[in-house]
Amino acid sequence: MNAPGLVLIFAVAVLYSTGFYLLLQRSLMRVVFGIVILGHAANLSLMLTDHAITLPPLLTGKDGPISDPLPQAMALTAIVITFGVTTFLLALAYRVWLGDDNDEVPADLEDRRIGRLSEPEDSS
Amino acid sequence: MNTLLAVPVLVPLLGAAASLLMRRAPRLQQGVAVAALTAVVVDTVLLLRVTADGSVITSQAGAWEAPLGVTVVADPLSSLMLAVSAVVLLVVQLFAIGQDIAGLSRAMPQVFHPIYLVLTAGVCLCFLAGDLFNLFVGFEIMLTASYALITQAPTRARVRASMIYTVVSLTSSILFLTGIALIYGLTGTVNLADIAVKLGGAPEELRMVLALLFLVVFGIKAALVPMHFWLPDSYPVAITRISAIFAALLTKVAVYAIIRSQTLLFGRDDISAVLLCVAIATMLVGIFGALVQDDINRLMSFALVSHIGFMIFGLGLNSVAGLAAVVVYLVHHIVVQANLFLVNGLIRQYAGHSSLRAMRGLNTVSPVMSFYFFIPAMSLAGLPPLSGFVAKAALFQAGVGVGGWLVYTALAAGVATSLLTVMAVFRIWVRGFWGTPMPDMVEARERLKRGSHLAGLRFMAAMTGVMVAIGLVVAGAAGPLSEIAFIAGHDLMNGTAYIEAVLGEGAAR
Amino acid sequence: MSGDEPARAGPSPGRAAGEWGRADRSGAPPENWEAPRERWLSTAVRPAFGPRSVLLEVAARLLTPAILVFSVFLLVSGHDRPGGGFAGGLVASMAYVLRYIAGGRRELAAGIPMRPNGLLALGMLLVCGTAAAPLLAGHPMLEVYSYTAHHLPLFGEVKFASYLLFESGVFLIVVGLVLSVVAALGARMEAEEEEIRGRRRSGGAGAAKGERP
Repeated sequence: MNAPGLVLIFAVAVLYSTGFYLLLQRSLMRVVFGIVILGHAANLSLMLTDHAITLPPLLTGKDGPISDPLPQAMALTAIVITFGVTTFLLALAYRVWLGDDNDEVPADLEDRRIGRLSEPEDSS
Repeated sequence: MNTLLAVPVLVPLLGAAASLLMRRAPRLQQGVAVAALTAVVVDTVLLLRVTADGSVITSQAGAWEAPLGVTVVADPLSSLMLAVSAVVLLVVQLFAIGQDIAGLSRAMPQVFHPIYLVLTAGVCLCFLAGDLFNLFVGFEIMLTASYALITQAPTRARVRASMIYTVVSLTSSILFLTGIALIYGLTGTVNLADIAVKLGGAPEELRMVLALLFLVVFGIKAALVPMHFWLPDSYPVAITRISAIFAALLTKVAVYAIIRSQTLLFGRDDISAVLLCVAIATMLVGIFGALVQDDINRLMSFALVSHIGFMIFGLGLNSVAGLAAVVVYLVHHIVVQANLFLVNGLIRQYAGHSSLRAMRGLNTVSPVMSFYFFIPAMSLAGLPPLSGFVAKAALFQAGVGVGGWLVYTALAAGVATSLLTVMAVFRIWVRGFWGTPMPDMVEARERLKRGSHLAGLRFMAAMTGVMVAIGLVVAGAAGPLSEIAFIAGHDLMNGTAYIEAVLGEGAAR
Repeated sequence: MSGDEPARAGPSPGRAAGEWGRADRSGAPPENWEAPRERWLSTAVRPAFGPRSVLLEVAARLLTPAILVFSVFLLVSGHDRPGGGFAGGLVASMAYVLRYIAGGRRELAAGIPMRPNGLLALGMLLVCGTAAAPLLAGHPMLEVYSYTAHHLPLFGEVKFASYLLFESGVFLIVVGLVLSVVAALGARMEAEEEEIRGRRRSGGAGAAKGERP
């Protein structure tokens, strides 16, 4: 009864797959969204480790069974960290956009060099 | 005990706060930053003296007992890593100060020093963390500081590179968090020693999955092939002092985390075959990548990737001798890698760039600099009697001691990688250092000599020389070093000393 | 355009004439007919987004002290009840964010007691100092000392803990962090965008787009 439901587990799965899908996009804004969603996924899975998630939280002056406070503390820390780094990422994405007028991740240096190798000789 | 264990984390943070308040007085700020790091060096050397005999010391923050509270642990491995890292951090910081005095850098010193100290605190916390979540926090402190450092003196290339770096590191952090959630769900604890005890009873398949997950998490940060792609794109773009410290320390912290998690937490022979395969791939891919580069910094970054493979090889051997060799290798590689990147910084002062295509005759331009390059480069390649030879010889000896076809394949790959490293290093030597110097380099030398840069430049060169000397000391002190390394390797293979120091007598059963 | 200016002149700030008058000349309705004529905030109000709004300005003026008091309540009650330095710091920084949204970046700069970096540094000193203090007595770091006063007049039973200092440090760090984020992401971007817009305008139509540096 107190165990987390199957719905939450599905939610975690959906969040992870959405997050990784967005992470693989070219546009930096989508990458940032991907990171945010992945952060939520990780935090939710931290919360899911508590088998008694539906019980009331730790409060002094109340007797009776309580939910495990440690995952909540860890999730809080993780939220703070993800929050901070996300703002940093947003600032970076803004810088990139300011410099280049687009926010696409460019092709890798080596890839471009290899691509140039395969171009026909007379085109250069 | 408590103080010894708290200083490496708290003093840099206090120094960071103090130096943030002193942005108007750069000299004072430099003084505070150097003082903080010097305190860390002294403290970690004392810590190494206490733990060198194999004893493990702990401190329970807030006096909460072990499985519940936050535990800080120092064993021979972590205190050795701490001491070496602190020394390298201090020398690189002095190099940076020299560069600022010379006015040769566009980095903002008033921002650099506080963040650098935060990075120091993060690195130290990683080495000292006695529980998984604290290890995560240490990593995050270190990485967040590194995100800020890599964008110092921002250019378009740097911003792009730091974007890649940040996204990749964040992905691995999130996987780390997932791993913590899984471990906590399985064992109900995040204390490393407690996990080690409780995971013993877990099903083997589950343990294997967790071991692989953590290998991926730390492998991304340590740039193991196939998760290495981000490193050569981001490290070489940063300014000298930062690429030096990143190359020297950040990947090694991740290697330390791999060693700690794979030896203490998981069944030791679960994934040693995987480790050996990854090691072979990392060594070969890294060094072949290095051979085709034109940019010295990029070349060195690929060489860095390939040499991470050696450490994973030693871990995959799964023997005391193998782990001891890894410890020696870690120490050697931290010093040498920092040294090479510092020399690259000096080269960039003369050449204005780091591309081998437009570089010739550095030998004539600055003989001292070529000496400073030659020693660590030969050490990296593993020529006797330098520290690289000591480390590689120990590693190969340990490999022969274990045997088996996979180990021999890895050994062959290792020998090939060493030879190819010699080739890569000689490529730099022949193309960059020989020949008649480019006219603009001679011009740059005259300008540097005449201008107001000279004192600072001399200081930078002196610090590079100090780093060379440290490398030679590592080679000279190979005896005591390998003694400590053997003790550390024994502790790692055994694990009971660590567990009992944290949880109390008899906890390891 | 004069109807758009505050009725009472004097210290009350207005905008440089003509700066906002462009909308009128282009035929659009006057942008600021709902702008307050009184001075509610401490600087020349130029909101970050959209036109001035009397509701927002009055709300910011009235709510800021209440929000700050509430944040201190959260800070001191946080030892064993919901709240604490982190939550309190977030609430306190919301007061400044509200002021920024209502009044623009100059208002934000006027409202901050000290530079965000200084707040961060002070907070970090407090946190690390509190964490390190027990070491001097030979105890492990982060140990908490507490003292309960049973019969204080007016307050009754009050518990003082060294934890409160630590939490105050966290409070300062959070406020400093949020303020520097607002300063970097909001105010500086705003300034940069203004500058770019200004450059484009002065560059005239002849400036080709490809000439961006």
